Amino acid sequence: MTIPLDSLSPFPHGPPVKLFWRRAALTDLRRKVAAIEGRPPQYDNVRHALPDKAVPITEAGSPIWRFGVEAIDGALPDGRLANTGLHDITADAYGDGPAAVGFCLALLRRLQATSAGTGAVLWCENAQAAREFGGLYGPGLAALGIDPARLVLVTVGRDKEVLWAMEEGLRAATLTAVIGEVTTADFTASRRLSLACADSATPALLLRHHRDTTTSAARTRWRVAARPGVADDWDARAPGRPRWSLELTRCRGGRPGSWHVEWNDATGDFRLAAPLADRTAAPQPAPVRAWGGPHLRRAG
Amino acid sequence: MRLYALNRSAAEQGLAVGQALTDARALIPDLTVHQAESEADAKALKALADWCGRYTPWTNIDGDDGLWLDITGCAHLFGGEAGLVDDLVRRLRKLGFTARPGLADTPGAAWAISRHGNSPIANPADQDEALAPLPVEALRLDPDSALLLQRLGLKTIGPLLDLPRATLERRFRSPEEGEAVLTRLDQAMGRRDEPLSPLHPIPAFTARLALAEPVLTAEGMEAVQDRLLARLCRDLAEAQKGARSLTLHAYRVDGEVARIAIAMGRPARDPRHMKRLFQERLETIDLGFGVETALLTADLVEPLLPRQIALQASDRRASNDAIDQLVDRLANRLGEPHIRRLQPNESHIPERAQRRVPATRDSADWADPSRPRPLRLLDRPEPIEVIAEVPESPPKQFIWRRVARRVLHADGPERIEPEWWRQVGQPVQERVRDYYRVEDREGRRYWLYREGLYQAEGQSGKPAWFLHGVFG
Repeated sequence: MTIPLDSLSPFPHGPPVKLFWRRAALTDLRRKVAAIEGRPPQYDNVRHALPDKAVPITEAGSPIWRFGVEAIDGALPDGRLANTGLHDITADAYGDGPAAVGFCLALLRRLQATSAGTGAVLWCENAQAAREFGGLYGPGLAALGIDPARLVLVTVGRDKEVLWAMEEGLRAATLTAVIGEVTTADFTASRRLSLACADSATPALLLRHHRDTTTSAARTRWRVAARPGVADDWDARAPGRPRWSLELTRCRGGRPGSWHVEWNDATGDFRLAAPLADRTAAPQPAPVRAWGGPHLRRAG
Repeated sequence: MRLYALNRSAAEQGLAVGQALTDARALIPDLTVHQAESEADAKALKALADWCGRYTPWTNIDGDDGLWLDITGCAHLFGGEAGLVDDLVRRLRKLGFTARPGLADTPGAAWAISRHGNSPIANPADQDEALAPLPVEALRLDPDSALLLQRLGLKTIGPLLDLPRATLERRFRSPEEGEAVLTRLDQAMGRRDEPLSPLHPIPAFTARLALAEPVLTAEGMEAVQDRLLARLCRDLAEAQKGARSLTLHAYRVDGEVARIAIAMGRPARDPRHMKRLFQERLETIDLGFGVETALLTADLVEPLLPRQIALQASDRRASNDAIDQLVDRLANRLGEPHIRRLQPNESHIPERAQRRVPATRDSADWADPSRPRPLRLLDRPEPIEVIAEVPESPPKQFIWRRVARRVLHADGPERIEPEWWRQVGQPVQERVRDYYRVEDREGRRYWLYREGLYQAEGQSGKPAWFLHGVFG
């Protein structure tokens, strides 16, 4: 087989590629400089100079697990996420499953930045959920700033086993956090997990199926949906930082509310998404379905 | 149809093994006959060999109707050799077996005494005297040799012993035949070694507890297990070893043996840890009418050097130990293959870039990927239908799982060439992939790729689009 000469060059076409390279090189350099200077990488792009008052981004050494966004932390009891409690995360719709996982990992990253977050993490996944969007991918976790080597993965077939494994992980009392994915967990199960969390002073994050509406004994309960983000800082065509709409539907001792946040992989911090840049404020057309035309409609 | 086996009273009335059934019926019209089931017999014999594990770990089957037990170093637990033999015969009788024990210094002598002797135990000092009156068949000879010896007038072992060896050998047709007889004779006398293998490998460490009263409850069993674990772990510590797998054997009153086993990812000798692993299984064990003897064996043992106790609870090693113990507990309940760690793999093909390895293995360091990588990767890339395809650029719209998604932002391509060294001799050639990171109008992010090149369409077929993963 002969390979055409031009296919050997990785990006065989014009300007966007150059832009792409430049962006990658710049990000890389900034990261290196930041690492040498021992500070978190900063971005000087005007679009992200948001009205929200800046809170220290990585609270290394501080035991406080929080968003670093005043508006959200203010709604939580004591202005922080409970290190000794269960937190529920539910996707808003089927397609928001990955966003919920992204949010969950963002919280984990915030936790690992605190002084309490140096240990291993137990991730219990339901094999069915893993088949839906695929299994956790190490390089992707690393890109998010989470060391995959610190993760112990449990893959089992039933919710019951996931919950058992989570409880067992909590009882070990040496983990940074325990994360589980279930389709549903009843009140008793969430109560058991909450108690185990309190006993061992280990936080747990429970990812629930979007249709699961059972009551829960969790400290906080979040609904997460993906929101269209702005373009990348360096390439107007590329996707930028992920944005999620967060709804705090239940919070003991706090105020429920909803926010649009933007997550920054590089620095590991949240920001409130600027209202103007948020296009979801405009009424959204219903999602276009395939097989929408009558000639393509299928039964089932 | 012929007689396969007889009980004592049938034998006393003159029946013999191998006799035709019709002849036997003619002699004794009301003879009770059962169909022989040699397979079931073999199974029962094996179960009985396992049951004898209560006396010694070294047990094996001998032919169709015998058992070997090497009781070296075990007899004192039962009040000496006579006590052990008594106990064995009594328990076997309770189970409904008639046993003919034979105990001697060599397997050959034990065999002879058990099959042909009168008193079950040969005194080591006069083993020769014990064997002398026994028939030559007792030496495990083949029938031809035994017949020849009898024709020569050598009906018992005594005269055989007195005969000069060279003379004896000359009487046989071939030197091999003579040599075989001498070998058997030497083995019985302990002049030649006879290596035998046990049914199960001998565990290096065991702890055994005989119970005065049968244990009937799970709580009682737990107490028994605690004592066994403490004893075993002490032995392991003395030998600087750690166990990787343990089996608890519960010898029940009814002759059954119930077993539960646990496995550990790394050698351990912490009784509390082992106890927690056993805890769940212990509830599932069927105690029947009670357990009279319990045995704990360390089946797989590895060196484990003593370590300094951590000064702080936050010590990294202590925390690693705790993780190992957690992994063991999860693995024992859920199965070892369900507990994994992610490990980087040297490959730029996305699906080969990570491996799931056993969780007890030390994890390698992950490098920060220089290119965007998805949070979840589908095991099998799913084909998508791309609308408004523009060559060499990301799609404007695509259909995945029957839902159309309009692309607002796209990043790429990142070209990943197949690993040519894997392609040699493969019938289906992998194609070049161009990966794009795209975001749809709902803000969901996907990792798509196009397989194949438009320029190479003639050679390797039309390019195809796939969805390989999702971003958070």
